[in-house]
Amino acid sequence: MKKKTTGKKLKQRLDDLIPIPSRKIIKADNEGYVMIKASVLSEINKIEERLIESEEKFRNIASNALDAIIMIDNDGNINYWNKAAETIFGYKSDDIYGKNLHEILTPPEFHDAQKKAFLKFQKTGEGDAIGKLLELSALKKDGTRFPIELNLSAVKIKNKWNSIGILRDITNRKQVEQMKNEFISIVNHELRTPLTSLRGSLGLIMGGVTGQLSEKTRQLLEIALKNTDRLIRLINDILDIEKIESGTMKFKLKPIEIVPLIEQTLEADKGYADKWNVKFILQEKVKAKINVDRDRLIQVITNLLSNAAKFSPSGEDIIISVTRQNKFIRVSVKDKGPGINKNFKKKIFSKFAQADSSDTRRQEGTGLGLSISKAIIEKMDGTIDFESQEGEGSTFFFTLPEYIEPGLVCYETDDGIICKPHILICESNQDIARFLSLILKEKDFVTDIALNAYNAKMLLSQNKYAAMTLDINLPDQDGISFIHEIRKNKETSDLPIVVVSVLDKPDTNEIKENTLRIVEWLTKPIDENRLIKALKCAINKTIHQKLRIIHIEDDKDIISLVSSLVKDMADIIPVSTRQEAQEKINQENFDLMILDLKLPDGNGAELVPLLKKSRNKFIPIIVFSAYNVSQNISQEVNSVLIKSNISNETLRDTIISLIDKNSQKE
Amino acid sequence: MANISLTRILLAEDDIDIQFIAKMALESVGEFTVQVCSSGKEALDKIPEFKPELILMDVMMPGMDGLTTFQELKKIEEFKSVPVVFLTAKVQTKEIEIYKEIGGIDVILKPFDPMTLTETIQNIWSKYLSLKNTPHL
Repeated sequence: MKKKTTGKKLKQRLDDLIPIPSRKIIKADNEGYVMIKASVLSEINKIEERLIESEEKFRNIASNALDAIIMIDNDGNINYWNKAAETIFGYKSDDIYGKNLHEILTPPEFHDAQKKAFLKFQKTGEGDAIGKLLELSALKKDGTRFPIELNLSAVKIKNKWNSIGILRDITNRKQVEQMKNEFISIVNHELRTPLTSLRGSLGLIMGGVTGQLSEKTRQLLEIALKNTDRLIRLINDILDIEKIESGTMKFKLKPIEIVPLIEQTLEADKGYADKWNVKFILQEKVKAKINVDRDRLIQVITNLLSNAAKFSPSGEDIIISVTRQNKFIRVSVKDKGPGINKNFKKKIFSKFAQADSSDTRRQEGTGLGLSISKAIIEKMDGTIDFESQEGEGSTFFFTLPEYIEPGLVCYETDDGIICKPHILICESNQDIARFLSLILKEKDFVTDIALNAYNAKMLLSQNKYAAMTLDINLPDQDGISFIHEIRKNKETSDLPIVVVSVLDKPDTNEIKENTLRIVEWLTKPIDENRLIKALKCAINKTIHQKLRIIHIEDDKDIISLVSSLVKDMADIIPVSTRQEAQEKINQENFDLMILDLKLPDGNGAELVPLLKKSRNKFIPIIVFSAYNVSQNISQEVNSVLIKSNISNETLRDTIISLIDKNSQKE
Repeated sequence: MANISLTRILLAEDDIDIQFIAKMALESVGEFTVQVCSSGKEALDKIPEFKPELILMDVMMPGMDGLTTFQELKKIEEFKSVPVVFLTAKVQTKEIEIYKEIGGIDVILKPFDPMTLTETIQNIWSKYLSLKNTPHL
C-alpha cells in the first residue's frame, strides 16, 4: 500500500533536497506529484551549471598543477591521482586507483611507523604529519628512491577521514643543497688555512718568542694581529649565519636551569666587563628551567653582554634580570649607553647593520652578532627584542618557553610557581579510589582517577604522569596484561607503577624477576606510608634530578670555585672533615666524589677504601689536591688533578666525562 | 700514574707554514720535542723511530687523510693506544663529534693561537691521563 505523502511533508522533503523556497511550490498532491513554478527549473539549471563549472575548475587546477595531488580514503587507498602524480611516480591513474598508498609509494623500512601513524589518523583525522611541510623518501614505479617535499591535510567525507597530499620531487633541490654545502666546506677550509699561518706568525712574534720588539714594530704588529682576529671572527660568524639559515646548525636541546647558566656566563665574560670598565650585575633571578642548547644560549648571552659593555659609559653597571612572564622566562640586559637611534631600530637585527661606523667601538664587532642571536633564539622557540631611548640606554631581552618536567602539574600562586607530581590512580572500587586520592593530595600530589583499564589508557594517552597506582582486578582487563601493554608503549614504558591489590604477589617467574618493573606491590588494606614512600622514591628516579657530588675539602674557596663550575648540572655537597665525609657516604647516594687529601682530621686518602666497601654502586673519585699524589692512591682513583696545574675548563670537562662514562656503564 | 709529563709530540700537517709555526710554538713555549711530517704515510714511517707520546694529526692531508692514517695507526699493536688529537679547519659540530667518536681524544680548531697551543695541549693531556685510569674496584 502506497504511503500517503501529504502536501506539507512533500514540501519539507523538497526543501531538504533542493533549496527552493516553498512559496514557489504551487501544489503538492497525494500521489507524490508536485507542481512548481517554471522559474524554479532555471534555478535548478543554474545550480547544476555551477556544479559542473566548479568541478571543471578543480579538474583544471589539479591537472595542470606541477605538484602531485593525491587523495586517499579512510582505508589508505588512493582515490585521486592527478597528472603530475603520474609523471612524478610513473603510475597511470588507472593502474593506481584503489591501491594502498603506503604499500606502493613508501620505502619498506618506513612501513611500520607509517601504519601506526595512519591508524591514529583513521580514527581522529589527526597526526604529527598533518599540516606540516615534510621531507620524505618515496619510491617511483621503476623502484628508484627519491626525496619529496609533502604537505598533508585531512578532510572528512561522508563522516570518514580522508587525506589529501600535495607533493613535489625535490631531487634537484637536494643536489643543489649538497653542492652548496660542499662549496662552503671547501671555502671555509681554504680561508682558515692561510689565516692559521697568519695568526700563528703574528702570535709568536707578539708573544716574544723571537725576542724584543721596538715600540713601533710592536704597535704595527698589534694592529695586524687585531685585524687578523677580526677576520677570523667574521669568518666564524658568516659560517654560523649560513648554518642557521640553511638549517644545518644542530641544536642539542637539554633542560637546564637558567640562573646558574647565566651566572657561569657572567663569570666567563668578565673579560669584556674589565676591558670596558663596567660591571655585570645579576639583579633579578627566578628558579626555572628552559630547554635549550647550552653552548648556543651562552653565545647569545655573550653577544648581548659584549654589546652592552661596548656601548656603556665607563664605570657604569649593566643590569641583567631573569624573570618569569606567564609560561615564559625572560632574560634582559640593560645598559646606560647612548641608546638606539629611531631610524636604526628596524635594522638592528639584520646582517651587517652597524649604527654608526665612524665610532671605533663598532670596529670590534662583525655586524652579525644580533642577527645570529635572533636566529638562535628563534630556533629554540623564543623571541628576542629590545627597548631603547636615545640618550637613556637600551634593554635587550629574549624570552624562551619555560620547561616543565613531564609528570608535573604546575600552577601559579602568590608565592610563585608550584609544581606537584601528577599521579594516575587506576582503581575499580570508587570508594577506595577516592580514599587513595585523598591521601595523595594531602602529600602534595595531583591525582586523576580511572575506574577501569579503558579509561586509564585514555588518560595515559592524554597526560604525562609521574607515576601510577594500579589495581590488579580491573573490571575490563587483567592487571598484569595491562602492565604488559603499558610497558610496550614507548610513551609509558618507563612509567613507575605501584600495584595496590587485594591479592598477594603471584608466584610467577615474571613477578619474581620483576621483568615488569613494578615498583612495589602493596596489598589492601593499604599502608599509607609505604605507598607514599614508594611513589616518592620512584618519582625521584625518573624526574630529571641534578647530579650529586660530594666534595671533601676544607678550603671554602675551592668548594666555592668547583661549585660555580658545575652548578648548572650538579649539586655540590661539601664536607670539611673525614668524619663528616664517612657519615655522609654511608647515609646518602652520590654520583661523584671529589677528594682533597689534606683534611683537618687526617689523610683523605684513607676514605678511598672505605668508599669501596660501603656501597655496591661504583662512584668515580677525583682527587683534587695541591700536592703530587703517590702511585698507590692514583691507581685506586679515577683521576688525579693538581690544583695549580689545572684550568677550570679542564676540571669541569673531567667531571662531566667521568660521570658520563660511569652512567654509560650502568 | 699521576703527572706523567708530556715530552714527545708528532705533528702531521701538510701546510709547511703551519708546520713551522706549530713546531716553534710548542718547542719554545712548551719545551716539547716536536717531530713534523707532511703526510699520513710519512707519519706512519716516522712513528716507530720517534715514539711520540701524543700525535697532532691534521684531518685534511693529500694522499692518506687524517682519519685514514688514524685507522692505519690503530692496526699497529705497539702504537695503537698513542693518543691522537685532530687538527681541523672544519667547524661543523657533527664533524667534530665524528673525530671524537672515532677515537680522537680531542679536536683543535684552526686557526689556533700559538701562544696558547701549549696550554691547550697540556689541558688535553691532563684530562687524557685522568680518564685513562680505570681502577679495579
